[in-house]
Amino acid sequence: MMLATGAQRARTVIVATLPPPAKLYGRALQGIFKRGGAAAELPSIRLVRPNVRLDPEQIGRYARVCGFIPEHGVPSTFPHVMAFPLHLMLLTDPKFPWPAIGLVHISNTVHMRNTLHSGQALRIEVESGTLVPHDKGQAFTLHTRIYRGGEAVWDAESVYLKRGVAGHGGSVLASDPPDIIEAPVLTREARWQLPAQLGRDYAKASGDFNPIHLHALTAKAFGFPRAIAHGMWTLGRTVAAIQPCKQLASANINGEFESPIFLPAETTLWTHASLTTARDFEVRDLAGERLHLRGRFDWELS
Amino acid sequence: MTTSALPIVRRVAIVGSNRIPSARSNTAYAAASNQDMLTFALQGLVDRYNLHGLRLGEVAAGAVVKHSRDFNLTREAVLSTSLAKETPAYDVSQACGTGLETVILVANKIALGQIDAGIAGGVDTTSDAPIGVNERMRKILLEANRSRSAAQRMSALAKLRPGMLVKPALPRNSEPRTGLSMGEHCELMAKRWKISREAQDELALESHRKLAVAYERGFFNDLMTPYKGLSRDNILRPDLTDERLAALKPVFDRDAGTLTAGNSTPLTDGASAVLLASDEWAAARNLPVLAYLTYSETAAVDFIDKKEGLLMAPAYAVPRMLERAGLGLADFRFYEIHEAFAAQVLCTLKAWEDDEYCRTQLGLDGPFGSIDRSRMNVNGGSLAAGHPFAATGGRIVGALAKMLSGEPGSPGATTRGLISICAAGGQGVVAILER
Repeated sequence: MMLATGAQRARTVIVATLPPPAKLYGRALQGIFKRGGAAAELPSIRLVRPNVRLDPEQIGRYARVCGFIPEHGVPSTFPHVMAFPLHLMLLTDPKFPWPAIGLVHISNTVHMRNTLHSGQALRIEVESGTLVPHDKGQAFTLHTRIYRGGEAVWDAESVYLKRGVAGHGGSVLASDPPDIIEAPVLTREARWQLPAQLGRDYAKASGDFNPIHLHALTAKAFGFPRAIAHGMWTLGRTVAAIQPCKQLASANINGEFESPIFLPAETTLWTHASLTTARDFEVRDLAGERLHLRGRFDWELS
Repeated sequence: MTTSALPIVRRVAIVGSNRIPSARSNTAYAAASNQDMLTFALQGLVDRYNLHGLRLGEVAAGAVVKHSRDFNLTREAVLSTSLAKETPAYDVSQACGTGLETVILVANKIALGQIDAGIAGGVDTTSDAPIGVNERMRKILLEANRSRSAAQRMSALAKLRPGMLVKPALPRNSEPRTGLSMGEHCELMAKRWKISREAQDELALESHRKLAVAYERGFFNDLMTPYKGLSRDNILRPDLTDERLAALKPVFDRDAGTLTAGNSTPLTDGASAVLLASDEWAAARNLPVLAYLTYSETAAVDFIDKKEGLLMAPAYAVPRMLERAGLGLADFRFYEIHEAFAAQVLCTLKAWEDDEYCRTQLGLDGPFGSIDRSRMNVNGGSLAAGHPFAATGGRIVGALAKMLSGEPGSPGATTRGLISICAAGGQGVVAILER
């Protein structure tokens, strides 16, 4: 059920009840027949779920698949999962120019500004940002803002890329980040064994049933040789591995998704402690040569 | 013992021990019962120390996984040995702490002068496990049993369904209050303490190598009686490599776990028994004294509300015991830390080195300390020898007593060994042996 309300900038749509997942994915699958070329702008919509409870069971499922433990409290990356249905609704909106499936999630930042506790009620807002040219197509950001009784407790930017559509103007977002001066030397911290069913396990915990993560067969239908690990799983797994075993008062996470991880896989986590409460990190293949994810995580203990 | 108010408190000597080699579940001992294995381990001890026809003070033993018909398991086993049939016996159950707890119970009676000698032991089989009938079927059968008329009986039995036969009630290796298996609990601990997969695999590899060397040296020759074709633990893999361990997949948490079949103990069948006595009793029979049991402690943690790690109780028990004994963690020649999981051992060691944890959780002034790893589980541990739950305590006490007896030691100096065993239900049993 949706109620449209007037807004000055973006059209605000209050989502009182989420459509059933099957309907959402039906929309996503229908969307693959969209033939969008380069787009001038994205529909200006803000989707709002005014009252969503931090569900301990869902947190538990998410925590387990990513490697968080109860001592961590509500994982700082967890609210992304709560906002995800709104992301999918926005990306499958009839006015959205491209099929949702086939968009590439190229980076995600997360800012947790206060400790979250399970049981608390949150207001979740998701809004599409402006379209920017990228050297491989066009990129745009979905902004997620989460409030707890008026307090802005969590926000995130999820950057997606539509490949192969000619952007307008000069290249703003480049696929290769500029060379970092004095790049820190990262040391190998752990080896991870990612099982074939990881995509399905994460789908059940996150509610994101994107077929490219589920099974080799469904992944093949979309041009991947095997199922690929969900980038937000890799980011969550990394944060879980790095975070001290305590609740955080705040956290800033930035992750850039590089080459996909084909499941099953063995990967390695590499880190560098730039501060006692900050880590630069990379997830690479077993040999430590191919880069899957790079980013930075800093935090304050509560 | 130092208490002077009770002049009858005596030193408790460990005279010797016997065990059967441990067998991976459903292998060599698949058809052996707890009764068979415990009887055999006891008889081996009786033979080795010539206890035939003797009336001992008591025999205490136990099993974690037990048939209801084995309500008097230990007494029945004693009756099958050549000990005097006047030897009393009883069963003990404290999960994986059973074996060491029986040693403590028998030792305390000897210390108090209630008995002069006794045997402590334990046995477990997960091959010959009790299978209960389906819970609904059980209720129907009980109802039929209560019925007074044939018609009532028939109406009860008419509720039976064929499906009940293929869905029996199996014993489960999980904590009743959390529903998590012990391995899942230990996964949480490994994450809490950030114990790497590599560190766990390394400990497992060391365990196998040290046990293999101990067998080569003949260390177990007078600690073991071959049984059903086995003369050494069939869990032991002398040719294990780190590559093979690294290739194993996590079993308790497939997506983000580090515990594998290689760095966790497998389900194991086995039995052990330890002969304890007063100095006088041993001297009168011209029997050796390998070591003395001096201090012991049990502890339990709140893994439900306070969310302490299920297998962290030994981390609490050891500092409490050492405070009573006036000893520090470094005052030991040997450390025997039961390797339920490599991660359990590593979590315990890391906890003792953690300043904040030692202050806030253990109530100490600072870090409890580090142990010299070259003194830990020097002849291998449960990862290589297996872990027949209730038999592990006896295996460790017997081996450590022998290790202490073999130390040259200087006159007047005491050589000590520390034992630490974690158990289900958030419990831990620890003890000190010395010589």
